[in-house]
Amino acid sequence: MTSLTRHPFRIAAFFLFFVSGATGLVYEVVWTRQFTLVLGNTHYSVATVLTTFMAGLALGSFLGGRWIDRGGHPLRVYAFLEAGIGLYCLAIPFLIDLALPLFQSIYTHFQNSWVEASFFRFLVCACILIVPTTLMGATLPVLGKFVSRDAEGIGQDVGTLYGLNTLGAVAGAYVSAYWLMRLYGISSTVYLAAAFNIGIAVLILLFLKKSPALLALDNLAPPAQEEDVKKLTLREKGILLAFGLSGVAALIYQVAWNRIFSLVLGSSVYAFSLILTTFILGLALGILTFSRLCHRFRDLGEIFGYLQLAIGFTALMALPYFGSIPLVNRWVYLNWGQDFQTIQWANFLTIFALIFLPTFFMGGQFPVVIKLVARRLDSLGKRVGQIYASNTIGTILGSFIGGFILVPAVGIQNTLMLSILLNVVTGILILGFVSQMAAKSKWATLPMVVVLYFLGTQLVPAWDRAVITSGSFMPYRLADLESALEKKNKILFYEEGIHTTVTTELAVTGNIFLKVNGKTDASLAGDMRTQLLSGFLPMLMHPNPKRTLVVGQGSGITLGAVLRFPVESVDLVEISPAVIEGSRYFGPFNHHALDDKRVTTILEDGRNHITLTEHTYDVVISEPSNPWISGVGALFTRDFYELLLGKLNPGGIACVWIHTNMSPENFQSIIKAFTSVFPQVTMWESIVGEDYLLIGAREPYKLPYEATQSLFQDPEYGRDLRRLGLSDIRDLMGLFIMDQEGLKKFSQPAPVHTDDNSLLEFGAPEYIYKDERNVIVRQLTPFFHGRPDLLTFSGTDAETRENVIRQVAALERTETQVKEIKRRSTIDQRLDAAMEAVNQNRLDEALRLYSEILQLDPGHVLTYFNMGNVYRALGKPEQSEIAYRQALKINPYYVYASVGLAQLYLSARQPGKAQEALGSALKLLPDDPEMRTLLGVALVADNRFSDAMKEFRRAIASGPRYLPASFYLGMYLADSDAGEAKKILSRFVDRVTGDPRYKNMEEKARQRLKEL
Amino acid sequence: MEKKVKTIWVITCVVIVLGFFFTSIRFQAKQAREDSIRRAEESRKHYEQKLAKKKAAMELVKLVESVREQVASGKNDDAIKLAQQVVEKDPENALARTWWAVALVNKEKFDEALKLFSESAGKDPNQAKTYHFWGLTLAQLGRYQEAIDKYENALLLEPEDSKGYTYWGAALAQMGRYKEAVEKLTRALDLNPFNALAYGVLVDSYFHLKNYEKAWETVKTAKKQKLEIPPGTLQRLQEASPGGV
Repeated sequence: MTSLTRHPFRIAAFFLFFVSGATGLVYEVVWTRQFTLVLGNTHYSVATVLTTFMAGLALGSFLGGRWIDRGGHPLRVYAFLEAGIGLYCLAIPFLIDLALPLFQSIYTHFQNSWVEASFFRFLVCACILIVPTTLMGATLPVLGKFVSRDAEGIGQDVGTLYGLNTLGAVAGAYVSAYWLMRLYGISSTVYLAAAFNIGIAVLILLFLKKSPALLALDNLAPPAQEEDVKKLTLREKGILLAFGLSGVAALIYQVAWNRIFSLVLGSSVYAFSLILTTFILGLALGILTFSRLCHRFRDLGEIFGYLQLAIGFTALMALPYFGSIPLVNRWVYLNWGQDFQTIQWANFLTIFALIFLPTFFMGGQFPVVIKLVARRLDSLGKRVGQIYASNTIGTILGSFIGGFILVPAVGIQNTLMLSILLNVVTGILILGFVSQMAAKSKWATLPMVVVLYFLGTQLVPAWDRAVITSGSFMPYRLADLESALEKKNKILFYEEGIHTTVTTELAVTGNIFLKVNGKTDASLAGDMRTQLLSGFLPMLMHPNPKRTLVVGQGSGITLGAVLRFPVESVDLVEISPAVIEGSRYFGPFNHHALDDKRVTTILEDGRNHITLTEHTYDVVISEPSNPWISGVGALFTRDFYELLLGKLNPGGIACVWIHTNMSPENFQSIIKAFTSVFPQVTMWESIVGEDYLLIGAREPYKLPYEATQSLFQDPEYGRDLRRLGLSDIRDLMGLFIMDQEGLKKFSQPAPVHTDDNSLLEFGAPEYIYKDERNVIVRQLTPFFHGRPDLLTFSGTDAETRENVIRQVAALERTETQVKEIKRRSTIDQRLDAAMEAVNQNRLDEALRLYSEILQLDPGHVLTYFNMGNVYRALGKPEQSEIAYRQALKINPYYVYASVGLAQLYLSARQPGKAQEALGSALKLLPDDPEMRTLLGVALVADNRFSDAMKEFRRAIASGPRYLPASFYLGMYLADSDAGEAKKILSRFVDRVTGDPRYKNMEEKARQRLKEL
Repeated sequence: MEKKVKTIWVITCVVIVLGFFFTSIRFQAKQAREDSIRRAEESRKHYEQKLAKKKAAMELVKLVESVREQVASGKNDDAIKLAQQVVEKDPENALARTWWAVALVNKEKFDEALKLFSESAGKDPNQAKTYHFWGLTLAQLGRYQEAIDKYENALLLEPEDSKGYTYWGAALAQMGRYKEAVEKLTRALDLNPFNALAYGVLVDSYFHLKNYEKAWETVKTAKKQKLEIPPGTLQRLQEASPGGV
């Protein structure tokens, strides 16, 4: 016994298990990536892989434990297990390829029956992954048996072993994302991990051969007999159940934390990796610490219960601070700088500060439970297996309940609350039934815990949606955080869906933007031109497009552009149902594309659809363009473009939207991947330095002059284009940069972007904090030439034709762009000047400037709104009403104009009309405190006092920070309930004292208070 | 035996867990899908209803167009009758009222016309035409400031419309506010360089401002566009500043 304890190989075994933990996590990360390529980058796929992985581990530990208790040399068995893992894992990429036809047939045959499809996918995954994961799971009880030589030290030994294994997993999580996959690619990472596994096996076997004494030691423990193994007592079963429930809670936390962190720290591969690393780090340190401590505790049952409560309460304490992470981000940018590494460290510290304590206590449970349940050496393997299995089943359930049920049903914050509740209840039950606490102390403490929980939850404020979705993880969007804090924008739609959190916001400028996990994905400003052109250009270039595929809905503007053409069917593939719902607010701008009967919406990952669908298309448009978001990089690889080319009908055209938020080399890599697959390619510059379109085909294609002209003359679509500075073919041709010859030359120095090297996934996140777009623009410039030969003419007279050709040939590089930039900046200048004029009370001058803006952009919502305000101030209600109504006509969701109208009607003593105007706006934003207050005022004017009071109270409840509601409530309540009015008004006065915005109100309130 | 029972237990548990797993997924997925379908259906219905309404509206538009044609061809009484029919069919129709009012103006029944313009704007405040004719009628009655208000309304609705600025400029010129008139008329000509009326009033305004150089310049530009300046205006200019064109 003592000889093994002192034997150097025992220490080596701990180290080897550390390595095996690291490789295990590397496999998990790599498999998730490989499977999501064929299953889709959805939460379902990730959950499928995770479930199979966990289930395999549980099964392995369960079987391994029983097996090893019956006999065999743990060390030798461990060596074979490691060898098995290594060899099998080498084969997995090939097995996935082999299974591709199966996945294809599931995709085709079960498209409408989602449950069956999921079940069969799960089955195929399970068949591939069950062997290595079972082997991995079996390693813990087997090696646990080897290192535990003493019944007293079981908790410590197995705990330390598991702790080191988990610490290995921490290293695996970190190293795989930040180092291995980033530098060496996916395949090499797998080879390396497999080499480690096989190396461990070889090392052990060699050592056993050379040191037979160890083998003898190995055999010291007598093989346990089935009848010797004591059955689980009721208490032990209870402990296992509690540990299972704790597993459920743990994974619910993980899912919910993942969601909130990806919202406030970004959804890059690094953010996910940091969350995983920190989570496992907490677990590992908890396991190691408690392994050392657990033999000192007298009543382990009590400790187990306290650990549950500790998890719950530390998680509860951290809960409010998630809402403040955007402010932390801002502080970091301002004080620590915007260097990638610094920000990674800052993110790590943020995550660590919030989740370390709960995860630490989660880890602490493991040695405690082992010590509680496995008390005998002979049944050690079996017990460890059972413990591990109960927890793992819990984690599977937790990942499922958290991701698929709780988050979509009750939201992230409530999911966390429920998980905390689960911990607290489990803790109370353990303390009540498992611990040996005196009955008196139980009665004294346990009800207190419940009270404490409810008090705690009451104190946690709801996270501010505008702030958490402000995209503060991008330093260049800090202004959005400021406007979120000032409540400048109105949130039209907010949904924490299964995959992502989607927000649709309205800005006072009239712009509507859709954010996915805090990152703006589509809007009516900036990238509008790209959204339209990515639809128009390929559709114009194809002579007769019948079947079209659009990947990514965004605002639906591209879909609307595609539907302008006489296509027979359009498949819209969108990964997130919440995006589809959020995009309905763009209906008036995308010509109600989603209502078109030709559109079939497919809720799938784009890459997955293209890999597995049996359909082929005339035109395919791929819109997802944020390369730093985890998973999006897979839409820019050579592998993907090959799949894309395979799905094109003869004469088919593919259009891909690329951003420039990456290194110039990565930009070239994408182009190299595209040109290496498509023989005919053209590149178009939609927004200089920002958005580019690659259009590829097998056969040569041209832009038909007549069809393009008719598009410009289209009353609706032509107007859309004119608003973006494109009014004729010359403007459009000014956006063409180069064709395949130029592109090949341009991209020559860079490596090809492939699935294996995933350059974008690992490279692009750095460019959230870095900007080299000017370099890309400079590199592109020499390749630009006016290219009239890209145009075809039919039926246009020779004179016009020659004229067009001459104009296009004479085009200058930045002509179209400069024209548009000038137009926009003139509008901005006029807006600023008008605002100054308003501030100086030169209202006629302001109106003149506004009317000039309308000539440059007749759809400028903000200008109409401002004109409404100016006319109201000038006492011209008729003009004011028209201006507000024009704003609403252009953007029916522009509630600011409704507020303006209501104020106008109120000043004209038309409360009925004011209520009407507010009624329709309140349908959109029922909880808007400003509009509720105004409605209250309108109701007072209509002598409906009790309704008015209700509205004021509702305004206060939904926006406690909106102070005018309290003012009006206090003022109008004074006649009926002087006592309450006094209270409300004095509280109002206290809060607004010294604030110039509320000066008038403050004076009136003071006056009224005196009267009262 | 015991082993068998255990196995059965394990299998049952697994089935329950898996069953729970998939039924819940089904529930979620089905609900999401149903919600999506329901929303899409609602949206589609709404769209179809809108289309049906649009069709009915198109027929009325045709009728209103014939009212306009009759007014244009001087058949004011017929136009009034037809407009009345349209208003009976669609009591909310604004444009029919506008043309009806124009027909009444042609018959010099100003008060009735003004009442109709006001009614028309009440029914649909988004018709620039209504404000144009309303303003012109008011100008005809010498109520220039009110006319300007109406032109301003029209320009809010159609900011790129050259006519609105021309009428506005003309009204200002009538009021003797030539400097302001020049600004509006210049804007009108920026928007439409072929606007003959704007050239005429602009020349006249420059004439009154005694800015003969600019007046002649404007005359030259109009000539370039092959547009005629009213002979009276030109004669006055010739007399005041001979030797222009």
